[in-house]
Amino acid sequence: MQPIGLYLKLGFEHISDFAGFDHMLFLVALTAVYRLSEWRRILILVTAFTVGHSVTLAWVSLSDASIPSQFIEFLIPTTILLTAVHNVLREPPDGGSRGMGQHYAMALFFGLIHGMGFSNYFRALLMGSDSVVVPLLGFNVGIEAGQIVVVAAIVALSFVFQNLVGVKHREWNLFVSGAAFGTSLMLMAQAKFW
Amino acid sequence: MAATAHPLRLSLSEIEYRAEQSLLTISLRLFLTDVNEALVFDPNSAALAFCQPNESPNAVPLLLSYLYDYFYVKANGERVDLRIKSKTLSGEGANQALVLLIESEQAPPLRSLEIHNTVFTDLFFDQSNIVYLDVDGELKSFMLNKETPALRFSY
Repeated sequence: MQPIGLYLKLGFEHISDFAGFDHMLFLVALTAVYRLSEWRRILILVTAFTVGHSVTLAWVSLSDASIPSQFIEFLIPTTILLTAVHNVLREPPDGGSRGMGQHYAMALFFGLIHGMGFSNYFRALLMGSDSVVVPLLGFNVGIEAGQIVVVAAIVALSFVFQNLVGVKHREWNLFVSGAAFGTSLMLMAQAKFW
Repeated sequence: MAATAHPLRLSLSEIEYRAEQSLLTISLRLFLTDVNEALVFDPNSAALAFCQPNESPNAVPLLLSYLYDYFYVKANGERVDLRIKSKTLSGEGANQALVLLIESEQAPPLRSLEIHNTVFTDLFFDQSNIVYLDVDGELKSFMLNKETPALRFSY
């Protein structure tokens, strides 16, 4: 197996099992408040998050930039908490793409933060090795592929609760965002760096 | 990764054989928090202080003793002596890796190679150990873990 395939598999498995639950929780908070009919918005949100992820990946792997890992580990659950709060306070407007700019910008910015965790980790492991870029690229592509699976599962679950069980959209939003808020608060307490 | 939220458990070993130089080189990269967890049961312990001026005299013997059980390379059926030529630290904070360089004389021909790498699988169920193998320029890469602890090659 060539290294890129090996790292791609690693990234996919990491994100699509519950070991990577903070990343998964972010995707839940980001996408669960949308209806299946809003798939275009979901696609743009996930793409924005992916772009953010990839920018950090390129930046950290091609420069000497270093951000303290304790800080990043605290920031990651913070992004989940802020997304949950944002869902409740600024619920996405109905229909179309109007009023979604803030949501997309947030997904992009938070993608930058999530990408830092992996980049720092891989750089420590692979520094001085032949290439950091190829393994990081493979891992990132694997992560993105895993994200598609996770988001599809979230949207399906959301559809079941809202369309088959009959849970109202606002109640579903509060339920999902509340769960994400509580869990991320605990993660922030565990990762506090001061 | 030290964070409780997003554990990603990896190590990397690069194994290179050059018949012309009769040399087998092993570079082993292990996260320091994992090493501390395995040796002194505390990921953030400063007791062993690898690569620091106050490095404990027990640090290397403890590490070699651990590696004896969990990491070995057999060339032509003989276990390669893990004599550390150099050790350095890479990265920072919770993402700091300990890089060990091991060199061993190995006269050609290389007829068989066995790589056993289960480092930290005793601690973490999801530990994956990446192996890059380069035998006279022929490159291969593998992932070892609890289910697949070893690789065997014949030449």
